[in-house]
Amino acid sequence: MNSTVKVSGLTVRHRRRTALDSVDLDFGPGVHGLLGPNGAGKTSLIRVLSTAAAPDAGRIELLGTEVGAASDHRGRAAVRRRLGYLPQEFGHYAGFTVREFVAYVAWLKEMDGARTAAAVERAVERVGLADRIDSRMKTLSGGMVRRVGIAQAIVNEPELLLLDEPTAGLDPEQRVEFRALMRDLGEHATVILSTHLVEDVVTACEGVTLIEAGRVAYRGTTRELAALGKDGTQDEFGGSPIERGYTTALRSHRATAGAR
Amino acid sequence: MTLTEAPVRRKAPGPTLLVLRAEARRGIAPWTGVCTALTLFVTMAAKADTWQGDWAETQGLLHSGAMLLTGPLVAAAACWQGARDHRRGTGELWRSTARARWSRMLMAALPLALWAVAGYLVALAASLVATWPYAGGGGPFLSVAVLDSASLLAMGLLGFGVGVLCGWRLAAPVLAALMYLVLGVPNYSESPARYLDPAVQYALTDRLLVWWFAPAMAVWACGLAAAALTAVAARRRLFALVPLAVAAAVAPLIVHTGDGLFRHDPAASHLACTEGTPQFCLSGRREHLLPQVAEALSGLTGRLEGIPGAPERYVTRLSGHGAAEVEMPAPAPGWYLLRGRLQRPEDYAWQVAVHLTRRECPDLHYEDTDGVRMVATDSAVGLWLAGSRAGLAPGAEKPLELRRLEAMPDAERRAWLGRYLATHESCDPSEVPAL
Amino acid sequence: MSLPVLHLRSRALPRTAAVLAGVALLAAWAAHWLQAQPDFNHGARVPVLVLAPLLVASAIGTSLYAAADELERTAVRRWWPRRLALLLALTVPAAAALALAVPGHPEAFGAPGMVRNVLGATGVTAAAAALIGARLSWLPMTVYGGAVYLAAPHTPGGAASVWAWPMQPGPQVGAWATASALFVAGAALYAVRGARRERG
Repeated sequence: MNSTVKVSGLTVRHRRRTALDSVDLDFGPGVHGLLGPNGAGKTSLIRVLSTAAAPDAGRIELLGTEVGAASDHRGRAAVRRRLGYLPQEFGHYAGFTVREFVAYVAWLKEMDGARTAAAVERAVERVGLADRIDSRMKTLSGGMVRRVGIAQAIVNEPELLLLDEPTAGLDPEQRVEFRALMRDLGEHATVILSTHLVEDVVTACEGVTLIEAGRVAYRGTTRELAALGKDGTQDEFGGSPIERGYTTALRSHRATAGAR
Repeated sequence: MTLTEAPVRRKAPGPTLLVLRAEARRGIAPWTGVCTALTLFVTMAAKADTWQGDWAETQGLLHSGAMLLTGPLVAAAACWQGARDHRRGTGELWRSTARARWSRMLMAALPLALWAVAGYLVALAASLVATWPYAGGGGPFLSVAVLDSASLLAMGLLGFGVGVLCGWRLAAPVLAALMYLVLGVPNYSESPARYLDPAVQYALTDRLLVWWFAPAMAVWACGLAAAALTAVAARRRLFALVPLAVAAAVAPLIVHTGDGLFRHDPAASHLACTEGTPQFCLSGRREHLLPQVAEALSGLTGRLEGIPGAPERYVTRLSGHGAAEVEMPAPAPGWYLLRGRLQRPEDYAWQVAVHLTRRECPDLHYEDTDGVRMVATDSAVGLWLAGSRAGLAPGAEKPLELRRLEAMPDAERRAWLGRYLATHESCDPSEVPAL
Repeated sequence: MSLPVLHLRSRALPRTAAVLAGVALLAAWAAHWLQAQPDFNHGARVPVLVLAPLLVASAIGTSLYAAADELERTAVRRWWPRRLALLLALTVPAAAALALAVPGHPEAFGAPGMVRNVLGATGVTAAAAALIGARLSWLPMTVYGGAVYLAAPHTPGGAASVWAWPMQPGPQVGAWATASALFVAGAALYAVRGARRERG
């Protein structure tokens, strides 16, 4: 399986604090979940993979092209055309309508002019906002704005999709639709999903990566992670199997990291 | 989706057009255009009496208003627009997209600057239409319009660059104040370098701008703005040196020419005269006022009709040929002229009468009785020729000499005036006939 | 760190104070330079008298921004004395500093006219902050000031002393009444309502 994303020795520093410490990862097609405590480095990883930020050290290869610090901007531009990104704090232009905003992002991604109008409508329809496509973004609720964010990320049908807390502000029904969308996208593209909600990971993701204090704590499939939690006492941690597995993996990582 | 539908002939608009439409319709860009037009409308309307009827005055005032008032306004609005990504927090998302930063910023800055230019052009069209019914010769100055438009565009782009750099809330009003200072202060200086400032006041009456001034200023202003924006937006910031060099190449040309940028208008020295005697002559651009001037002076000329030595020609500028010429004031908006109509014709006739009876006698002593008598005689003749109370203070009684002149029988007065006019060049009081 | 200092820092006071000081210095220099021009007299200070209060009011208005005003609205103690105190703490030094910038000739665009303009401009800006938000609070007074600068008649006094109050030279009662009324109304509105919440 050839990897869409290959990261080696990635180090990211954020104001004298090391957000990611020499991380090695690779992702192939499918939906991957990124879990971890707050401040673990998930957002930093996603930012670097989206090429919105440059790493301080290490090598990043996206879609077969190297995009780390020592690459040329033409290669980066080629990768960015096939990329979709939804940041954790999704900023938008309140005065634009949904259609105009998604078309604006499509233009920024240098999409083919003839295909854009149809692609915009399709993306907005997929997130369930087809009836609000011509309303201004300032009239939308928080959850709808987030869905517009997802629409702009998928408008160019990217091969690499990076979503940081995409379900924040979505109600349960919308979250179910979202997970279905993710599974749909994961058939052809590489989707990396950073989230706190383990249900998202369980239902939508195949692979799970745990990040803790700038290092990879666990890599495997969701089933393996859930199986991890079976050994511990039911009452000690509570919660679903995957939450127990998550806590177990974290604890064992901290133990081994402390021993090192 | 719908395979049974016939293929649609209409091609869907490419995203560039959609994005341009969005940027032009949303946000503060249309408001900037509206405010520019409104500001100029208010400025021109408040001072309508000083410019309606005169092309030079119209465009001069519009130029000053556009540069000193709407220029800072456009810069402030563009500064606000430039800080949009900082305010809305979209910077992160845009960094992950493929399109070059300069392209995105140009797409954000240009619609706003163009709206401002559109607002200016609307105000220009309205002012020209308001002036046209009352105007005489000449026409609008295309150079000034080009110059103003290019400068407004440049100020928009410059303001946008500042907004991108500085996301501070007060950046827009502070920039407006700074621009007002930078644009307004050179008006007080005398050096030729002040012509580099697009907001310098131009005195366009009876003058023409050289043909290359407007393109040169456009290159200078837009070159500076392009350099600033390139330095802010482009990936290879050194490209900013190219427009900067072009602007720097044009600047010495403007400074070196200095006041030579204004050429004398040949049509202004060409005199247009009425037929018959006496002749009334106005400089070429005011030919349409000849009938009104002739009518205002009809009383005066009627009184001098048939008298030998009466002036043959009334001109706005003495040519020095012959003594039979009398100077008359040149009507201009705010100076005897309001919307193409001559104002205060009695006062106008009085001014001409004063010119008629004035003597150029530098060494004369006016204290002795002869001198006093001569002055009184001149004054009385002037007052009588004017025919109204124009030269007298309200409520003052007529001087003795004037009453004597009025009391004379017609034929005797005509003879007396003939003798008087024969001596009106002389500086010897004894020659002037007594009243 | 003590509470008053924190409160002041939350209002970005140091930056505002720097702006006020800068404007006062600039106004002093500009007024002096204008008067030194050969054809001019003390009446030449009109641009300084109109522009400097605008800038100062803009700085004060934008500093009335409250980042966490939802939390503040639920605070136990009443907030309006603090808001009023903040506004006065900014306005009084600003008026004093700018008044010092135009010494001499109080009847022809001097210190009284400057103080009056600062009060009026701050009142309008505070009201604007309460009604349209601190970020754009500088806009109404700027537009009004610009319009009045253009359209005011040349002779002072009369009806124009009420609507063209920034352009009056000094002793006109109508102008003082208008400016004071604007300041009282604006300060009261801001103290009671606080700056309007801004989105984004």
